[in-house]
Amino acid sequence: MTTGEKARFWRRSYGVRTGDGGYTLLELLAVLAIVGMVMVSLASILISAQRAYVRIDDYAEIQENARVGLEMIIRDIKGCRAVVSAGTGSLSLTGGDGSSVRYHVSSGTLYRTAKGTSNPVANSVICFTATREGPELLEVTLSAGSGEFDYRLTTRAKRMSE
Amino acid sequence: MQYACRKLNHSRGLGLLEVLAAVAILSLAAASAFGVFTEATAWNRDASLRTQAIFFASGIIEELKARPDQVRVVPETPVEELGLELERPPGVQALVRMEEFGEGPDLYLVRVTVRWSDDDWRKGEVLAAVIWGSNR
Repeated sequence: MTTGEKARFWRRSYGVRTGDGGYTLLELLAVLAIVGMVMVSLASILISAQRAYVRIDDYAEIQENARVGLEMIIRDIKGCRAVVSAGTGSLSLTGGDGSSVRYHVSSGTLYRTAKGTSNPVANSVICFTATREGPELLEVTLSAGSGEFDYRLTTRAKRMSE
Repeated sequence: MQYACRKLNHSRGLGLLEVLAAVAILSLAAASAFGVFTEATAWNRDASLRTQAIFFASGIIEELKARPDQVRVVPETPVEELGLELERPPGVQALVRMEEFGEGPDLYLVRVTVRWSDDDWRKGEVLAAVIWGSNR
């Protein structure tokens, strides 16, 4: 091999692209490695974003149910004829039409029972309490969440006088 | 290395450095777009504080409806100083203002302003109600 041939051989085989010979194996490998690293880091960002999305979606659903459930309880209290009993985990009212309305928690779900049917109102309930604060005034606390967060809503509601 | 970089040569396609620059820019853009999902945690927290604050404000109004002896003319006052019993959720501040309403005897306009952010004073809600006092 002459010196010129040697140089061409080394250039062809390792590293540097010469003339119109296309990419060498080493260039291709380098590009694959770099693109691969970028893709792996992008994928990990994508996965954590996906996890955050799922978690926030769960939070939002639990919070929405708790909020709507508490609104429903307040409306029932405002419109009721009498408060039969109030305590931890349950609330019994006599509705405006004289029928009974009852809220109770069973295995983490808050149910509303009226006219013989029981409907779930909120899920993932940690605690539900109704306390009498006056003859017509009730304090209601509804706390919902998972192990990671505790969404606690407290308010008061007064039965409307006739 | 004149083939691989610096100048886009149309007959030769893209060099390694150009491709790398493109990938770097694209990944930066993609990473910042995914940041929206993590930001959602902060939005969720803000929304839940807002809900707690609004329930607290409506609880104050309900308590005042049930305790007309507490309804009187009061300039904007922190709720703790009013002698109400409703427990304040952490991170929420409330100001209550009561003024006489209209010509009617013993009618009061109650305005409850709740805030839940120290950083942003614009994050607040106002709930108002007209309530009877105790001399009705």
